[in-house]
Amino acid sequence: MTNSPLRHKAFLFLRSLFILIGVLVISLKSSCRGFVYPRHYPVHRPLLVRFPIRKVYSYRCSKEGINTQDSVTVTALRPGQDEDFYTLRMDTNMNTNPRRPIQKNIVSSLNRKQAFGDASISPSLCPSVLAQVSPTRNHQTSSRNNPSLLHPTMDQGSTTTTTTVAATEMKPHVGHLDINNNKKIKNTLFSFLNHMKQENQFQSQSLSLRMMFHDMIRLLGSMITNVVQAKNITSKTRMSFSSSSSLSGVTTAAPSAVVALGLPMDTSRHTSTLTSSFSSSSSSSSSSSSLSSSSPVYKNRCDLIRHGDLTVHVAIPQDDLDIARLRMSVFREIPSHERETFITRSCNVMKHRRSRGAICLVVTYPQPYPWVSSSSHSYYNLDEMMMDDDHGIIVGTLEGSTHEFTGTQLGRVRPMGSILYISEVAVSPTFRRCGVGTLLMKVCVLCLYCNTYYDSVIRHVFLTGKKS
Amino acid sequence: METIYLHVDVNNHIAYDMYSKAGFEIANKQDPLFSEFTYSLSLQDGETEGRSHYLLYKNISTTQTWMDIPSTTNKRIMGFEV
Repeated sequence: MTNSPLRHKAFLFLRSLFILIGVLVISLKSSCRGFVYPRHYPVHRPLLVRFPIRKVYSYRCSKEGINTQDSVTVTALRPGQDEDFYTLRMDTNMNTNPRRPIQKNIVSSLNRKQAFGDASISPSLCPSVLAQVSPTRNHQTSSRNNPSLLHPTMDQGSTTTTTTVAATEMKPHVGHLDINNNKKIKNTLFSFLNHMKQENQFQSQSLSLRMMFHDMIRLLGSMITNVVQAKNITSKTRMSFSSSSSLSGVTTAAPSAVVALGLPMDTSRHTSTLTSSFSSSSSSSSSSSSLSSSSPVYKNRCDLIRHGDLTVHVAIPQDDLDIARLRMSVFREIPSHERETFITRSCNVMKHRRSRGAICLVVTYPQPYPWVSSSSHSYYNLDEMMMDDDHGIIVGTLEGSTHEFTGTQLGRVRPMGSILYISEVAVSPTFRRCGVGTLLMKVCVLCLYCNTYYDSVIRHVFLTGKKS
Repeated sequence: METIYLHVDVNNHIAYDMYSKAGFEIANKQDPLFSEFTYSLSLQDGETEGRSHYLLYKNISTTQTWMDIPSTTNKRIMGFEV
């Protein structure tokens, strides 16, 4: 009888020991089954893109430009150790819609100092360059008159310097620069880049050349305005920064529009660039381009691709409803009373898949369809769409993910990150047969191909282009 | 990234043409790797309203990495074979 408590303790000890051994055996067995995918990927998984890539533009927004103000940030990156690849990114946040407060996430993902550092260069480093770029230095006087016009702010958390400019004040200054001064701006930019290169500032750094490129935006905007007013100059608004270091290409737009710097490989062929709401599509010099603020006139639907009005970017959670409606348009036989159920279920599926690492690419068109009435298609009614003046209407989607391979033999024999599954490809009925699907596939393959080799982080990929 | 996979309905000729132009090829249905993957997505023949799907793939890189297939000899299968 005296040994019974001891026996009980021994029994408890042995039982816990057996349980522990069982847990260890099960865990070892599960870990030896082969390749196991992580259950949850990060939600904001960066896409990696190689530079220079023709027709690909990066887009970045700063924290100051979330609502009604524009922020222009120019970033020069040097991916890896290759000295020949430089990237200039000029971004304008035109976000006036509170439905899209997501740009902070993009900024935070960019400021993680992945692969290259993220540092800023004070504008005081390049006063001479500023003077060269802006011969008139008009912004100083105007900023003196209106302090809110030019208000440089330093981002404390991310060491990125941005400039917040009131959108209403970014009007072009007509007459400051004509089109013949392209060469001057080009030489100025190159002199600045060489200057920074000599000072080893490009070494693993990200530059924010706010004032310099803010002036450039103004000058280029005034250039376009001069072209519009003169009506006798062709729309050769594209400047070539090309040299042996493969930095080339610029897209000009209105001061209040999207401005981007591209890196085309073949500058002789590629003259069409990213257009904006200003519709400054840079086509061939012989054609009479429509540089007006009104919607462009297309002969047919395929001109969309040719004019480069379609943009491709990574979808955000706020796009789920539009994407669900677009996917619903693929199915013709959904009764009206089941559409809401379909949309709700589709949104839930997207949310779940996004939490598992899926990335959805969307193609947007900046304006309402010029040739189709909103009530022409009952399954994709434009009246139901949340019209977004800044980002346009979603006309095509594509979803790429890897979690489908989890638990399959195919997923076990291929390493993680080497395979991707594409699903949920949908194109708006209005935009079918005009290259939207091909555009999506090209962007998807392009991003994934470059993912293998380069380490430049991009969140929003703009692709303008022709239908190939 | 080395390979992209996708499924397309066999009757969706427009989509198949688009993928073909993009460089996608039809995977062998008889390969147990692909058939099991299709089965895991419930897209095998006749599963959804009698439809069939092609499994298309595109090799992005020139070389593909394939690891050894884990042995399934010790996998316990319920039932018996006739």
